[in-house]
Amino acid sequence: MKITIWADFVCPFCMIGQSHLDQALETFEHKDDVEIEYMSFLLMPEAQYDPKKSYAETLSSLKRMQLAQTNAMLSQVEQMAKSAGLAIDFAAAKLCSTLAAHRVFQYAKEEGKGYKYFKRFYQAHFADGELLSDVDAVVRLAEEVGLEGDRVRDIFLSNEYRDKMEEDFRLAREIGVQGVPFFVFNYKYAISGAQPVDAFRQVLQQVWEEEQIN
Amino acid sequence: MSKQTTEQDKKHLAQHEEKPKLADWKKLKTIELDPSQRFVCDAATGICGPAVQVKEGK
Repeated sequence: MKITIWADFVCPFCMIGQSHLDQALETFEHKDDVEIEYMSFLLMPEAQYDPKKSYAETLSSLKRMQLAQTNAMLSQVEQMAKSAGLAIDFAAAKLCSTLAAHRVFQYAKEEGKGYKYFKRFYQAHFADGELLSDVDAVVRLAEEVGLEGDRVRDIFLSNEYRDKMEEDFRLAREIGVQGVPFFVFNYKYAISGAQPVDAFRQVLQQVWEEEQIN
Repeated sequence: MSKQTTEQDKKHLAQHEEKPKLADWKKLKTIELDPSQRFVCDAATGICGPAVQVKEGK
């Protein structure tokens, strides 16, 4: 079974959804036949890190939301992450554009390390306070997942892999992805948003059974 | 543990050419689940929350 996931590193429900999917897969009989592929999606391409502003302040001004509304939203996200056994530290997290990190992700995918890269970058953003628009941080994180640092630096500082990244955006638009995470099972069954573990279990079983019939 | 490692990515690369065409992607069937249990980050508004509230822009 193939699972395609459109996501962004700065999307908390993408990380939470991945964790729920992981838990559902643990008890899925055919887990060894499941393959996951991430696709690039930019949630906040215009975001710019401002060290003088908190995460909530940056997000509020970027999306023209009330600060109280943003704080409530982030608090809810933190609670959900905690329930999923994930650490999110918005006091340390740095909201920024992930455009260059996504171009490097396309390279990682080509090198067979896309899945590992995506998971590392979730943690880097939400738990480790890493700045994903900083070339040195991206090079270091990419090296951690086994990519060659000098090559990553070259890609980050150029416009390489933009076409591949934009192919993911284009496909997302064509199939109507309006938010993330967005899961597609076997190129056929779509689910928008992070779901509880049991819902993922149900979908995995349902898709598997339908595919056996077809 | 599912195949979520480097090995898995390599397998994907080998299957890269088998990806469906756009017309096939457009035949996606949406699986409807409880919207109150569905959490999403909306690209237009930037709001992350329950799908129902996000849709209403709350």
